Amino acid sequence: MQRIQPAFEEASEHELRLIRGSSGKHYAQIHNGAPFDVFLSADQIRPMLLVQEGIAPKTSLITYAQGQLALWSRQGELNLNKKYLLKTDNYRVIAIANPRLAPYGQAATEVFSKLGIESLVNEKLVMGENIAQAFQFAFSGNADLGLIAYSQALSPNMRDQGSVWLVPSELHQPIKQDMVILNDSEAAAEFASFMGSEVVREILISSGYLLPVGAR
Amino acid sequence: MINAALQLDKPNFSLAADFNVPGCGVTAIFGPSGCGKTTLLRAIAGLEPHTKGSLAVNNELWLSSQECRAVQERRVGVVFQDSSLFPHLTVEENLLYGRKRLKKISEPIEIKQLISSLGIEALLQRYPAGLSGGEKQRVALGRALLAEPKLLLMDEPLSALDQSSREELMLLLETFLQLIDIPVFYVTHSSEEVARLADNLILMSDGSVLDHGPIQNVLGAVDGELSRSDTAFSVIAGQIANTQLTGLISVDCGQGIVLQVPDTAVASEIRYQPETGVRLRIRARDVSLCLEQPKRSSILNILPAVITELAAEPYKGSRVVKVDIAGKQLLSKISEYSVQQLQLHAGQAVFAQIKSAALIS
Amino acid sequence: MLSQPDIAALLITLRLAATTTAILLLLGTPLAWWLATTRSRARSAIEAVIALPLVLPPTVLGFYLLLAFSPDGPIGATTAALGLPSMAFSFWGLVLGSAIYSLPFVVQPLQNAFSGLGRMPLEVAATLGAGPLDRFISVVLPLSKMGYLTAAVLGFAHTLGEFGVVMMIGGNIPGETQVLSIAIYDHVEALEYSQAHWLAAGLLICSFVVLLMIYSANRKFHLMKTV
Repeated sequence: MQRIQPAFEEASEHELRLIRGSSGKHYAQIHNGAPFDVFLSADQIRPMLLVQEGIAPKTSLITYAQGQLALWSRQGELNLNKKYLLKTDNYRVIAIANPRLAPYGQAATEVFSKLGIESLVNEKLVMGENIAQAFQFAFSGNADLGLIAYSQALSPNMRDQGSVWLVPSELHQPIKQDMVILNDSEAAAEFASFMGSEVVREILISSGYLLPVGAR
Repeated sequence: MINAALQLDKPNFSLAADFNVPGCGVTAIFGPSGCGKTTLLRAIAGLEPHTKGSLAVNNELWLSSQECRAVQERRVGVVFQDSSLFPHLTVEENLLYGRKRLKKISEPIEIKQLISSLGIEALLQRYPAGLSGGEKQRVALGRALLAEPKLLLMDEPLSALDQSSREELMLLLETFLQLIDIPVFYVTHSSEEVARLADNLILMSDGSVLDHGPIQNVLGAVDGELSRSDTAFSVIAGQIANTQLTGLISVDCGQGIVLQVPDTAVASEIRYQPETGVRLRIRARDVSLCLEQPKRSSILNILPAVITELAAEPYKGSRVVKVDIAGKQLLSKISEYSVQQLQLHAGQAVFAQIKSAALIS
Repeated sequence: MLSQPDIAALLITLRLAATTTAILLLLGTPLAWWLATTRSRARSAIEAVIALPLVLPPTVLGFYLLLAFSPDGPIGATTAALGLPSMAFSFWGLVLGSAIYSLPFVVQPLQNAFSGLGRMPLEVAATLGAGPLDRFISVVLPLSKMGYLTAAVLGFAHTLGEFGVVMMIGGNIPGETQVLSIAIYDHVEALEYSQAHWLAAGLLICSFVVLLMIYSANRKFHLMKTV
């Protein structure tokens, strides 16, 4: 979003104010009448709930990006791959986001079960409240590995550090991220259509996301 | 003997106290407020850790350049100005606090007897919060004594009390301090307390000792610091004679000297039985001298006397003169002008007019 | 109702608060005593350091602890050299974090209690033959009862409600580092509001009962003294 904001403001006469926070908290705030124009969630559940509750129009619900899961270690020059992850003797502690709260955490557990190492990994698991915290655990070295967002590994500060392996998308359900418009302002509509523009597509791809497969 | 040569430097004050006093009896440490009396007492107790010099109490070395005995090893009993009782302990627990910590109990003090002579039997189960000021001080005294101290230190123990409990405790102290056989240091700025209690006197001013020794020597020195001050006084012992005059008490001081003092006490019948030993405190400025016996004077006590000594020099316009009245020494403070006018000199026979005298016990 | 992990979180929380409080009372006593009696110039600096958790967001402490616990951080390197397990994501790591974070809540009441005593009771005890340790046990401790009570209640309560530090260094491991405040947060985030209610109410009642017990014990103590 840090890269989308200036691009939008350049293309539009509207200013964009970003309020960052966890999807759950924002959902609760919107549910209780917070005056946001657009809600970009990290998952699909909360925008869907807002539509069901009649707070957001169904027509405004779109998938704006698809996240990718990556295995990351602060140690450089590790040959991270499926085999490395499978051989659980390789690491003591692996950090993921809380699967109950974050889609990346959910995807991580899917990877473990697909690989059949669920029970082996279980006692090595530490959970961040969100994907940012999971990355913090891995980045500080307290966790040997982290199953984190590929976008985090590609962020400007991290790009040249550690070792990374992009987890193949067939190992987990797609991590679709949805957005809804919360009022009928012109600016909100303009921003929503901007999110489908070529500029944003390029930003998303270079930031480590996949493009949404067929908008709903 | 108690030999002391103590130095203590504090940010705004320094103490330099050298003195030797007998290792028994009551030694009053006397001087105006702020002169370092309490600091001296604390230094003796060991409560001022930066004290230097030497201190020996009855052949025990408490402080020297080589060693400094810790407070808890000195075995000093201290009665502080205001309540020092432990609020979380009952009176009985307070009384036994020090005694329980004795390594061996050498003197089988009759605890019950001590408690009853202090009049605190009824208080044993109470907490200090419920006691009067006088009761608290009596408990503090009992607690100090039960720990079998080698030296008892009292820091103005009456100053926080009201007039009636002060008098009550004073009476108790007069008999009590004579009975115990350990030395007592008693800090006070009241000349009355000195006159009533002290056997020895340490006179202090501005952190140093001006004079020390047996009370009569210090009090009677015409050139002494005490004599120069406004509080100069003499103490004469006597006993109550049969009172015949209303409102007056006659005190027989021996050798045919009988002084009349006003009966200010409310319960005089109880306190002043004939032949009770008493002391009279006579301020030097209340004694004037005449060459001839005045007639028809309002002053009751006019006695023939002989001048024994004059202060070498006048001080602030007046001079201290010591007279002998049938073997009793009395200080008189008169103006230098009168000394010159009357051409007073040692050996001269005069009449001493005593304007007032306070019966102090 | 409370699920199995929720009950585990409750027990972990109580254990964490009790352990932290006990350690803090033990270590806080000499520290508070030193602060109450010293004339050293270092005192102000030490006081400021102890009070830091009052002003800093807990995440600051959590962040630095996380870095310190890492294999090349000072604490992580030490534990590794001693052959001990890493402090990160462990119960004892949480104890350390909570202890630092609750330190002022324990030290300050103790320091106030000690300063309030004045020198008189200690000097009297010394003249009555009591040595330093004896003086502390027979005079300072009983006279500082209220200070200890306040310190214990505040230390316990503050650890009970601790969230930021635990979140940063805990790793949310059930039965080890998943404490109540984190469990409540997770329930709220996951929109499981009724479970959140159960836990929050449980924490509320638990805190209330602890405080009630302490204050009524204290009242009895006071009544006994005035009779």
